[in-house]
Amino acid sequence: MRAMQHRKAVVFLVFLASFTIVYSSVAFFALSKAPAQAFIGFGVFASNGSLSNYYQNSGAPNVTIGQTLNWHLQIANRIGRVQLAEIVVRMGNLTTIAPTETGPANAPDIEESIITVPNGENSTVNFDWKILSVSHPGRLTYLNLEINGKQVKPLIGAVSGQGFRLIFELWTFEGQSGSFQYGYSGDNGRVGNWLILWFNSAS
Amino acid sequence: MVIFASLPKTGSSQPNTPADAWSKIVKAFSTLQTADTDGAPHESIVTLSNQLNTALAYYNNATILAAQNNTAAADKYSTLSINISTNVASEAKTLDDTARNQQLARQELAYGTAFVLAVVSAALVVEVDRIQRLFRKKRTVRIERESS
Repeated sequence: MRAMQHRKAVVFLVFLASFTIVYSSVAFFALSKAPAQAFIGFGVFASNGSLSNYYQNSGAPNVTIGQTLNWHLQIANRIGRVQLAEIVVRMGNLTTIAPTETGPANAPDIEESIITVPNGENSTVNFDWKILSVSHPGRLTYLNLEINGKQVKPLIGAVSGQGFRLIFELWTFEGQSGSFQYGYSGDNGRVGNWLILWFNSAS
Repeated sequence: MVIFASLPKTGSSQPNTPADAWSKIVKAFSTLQTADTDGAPHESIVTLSNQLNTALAYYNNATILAAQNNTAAADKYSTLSINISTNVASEAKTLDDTARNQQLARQELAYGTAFVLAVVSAALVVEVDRIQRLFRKKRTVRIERESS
């Protein structure tokens, strides 16, 4: 009788341990977040909200002096937590090395915008710009720009004013380094995110 | 005997610079991100993010004015930014504490329920023959009652 009770107790403990593991696993999965592809989307929209006709010239990328262009830079945060994002705008030409998955362009930055973007939300930053004047110290054309009300004179010139590039890069704040880093932290390391719009100075 | 003491000027402090404002924004953002990761309500995170964007706008004005050597105006905007950032940091901390407590309570309930179910399941398995005998006895009594 005593041996039977002892055996029953041992059997009870073995089953208790097994069921505890099984039900605890179910509880763990019930408490866990559903897996999802983490990313941050980045887009430049024309004044009419489209992804085309940026220059209002039937698509031709020619910008005249005094012509104001109102673009919207949109960040879509699907990374799983709120982000402090920075959009770095650079001016480049035909010889500029474009950004890559791992590093920014080798061009001077002419504008920066910082914005907090909650997870699951889209945030928009205005990019209103125009060419105030041009100068031709040599073969190259240099621009005097106004961007979001600020005057900027990039040290980048283009032959005959052709082949300028506006490079938009997404940077995100990393707590560990206490600074903005190029791209965002993806599932397998940092992911570069950038956009380039070409234009010619039609003066 | 009367002792005269020089009272400290109330409200006198070092002016807030754009660098101070940025430091507060970073701190507020870090606290907000921690609260978000710990499960704070999405609507609250959105509200505090909008406030932090206002702080960023003031900070942006401060840096522009500082670049124009307008230190007084730059410090004024820095102060405005700092006030908002400080509030965001404080509210985010409260949200984080609440979220962590709720998360702990959810975990305790989930794993506690799992353990109770495990006990009940193990007991049912061990006592299955006794339960079968009990059901057989009840069925016999019911049949005898129906036949009489």
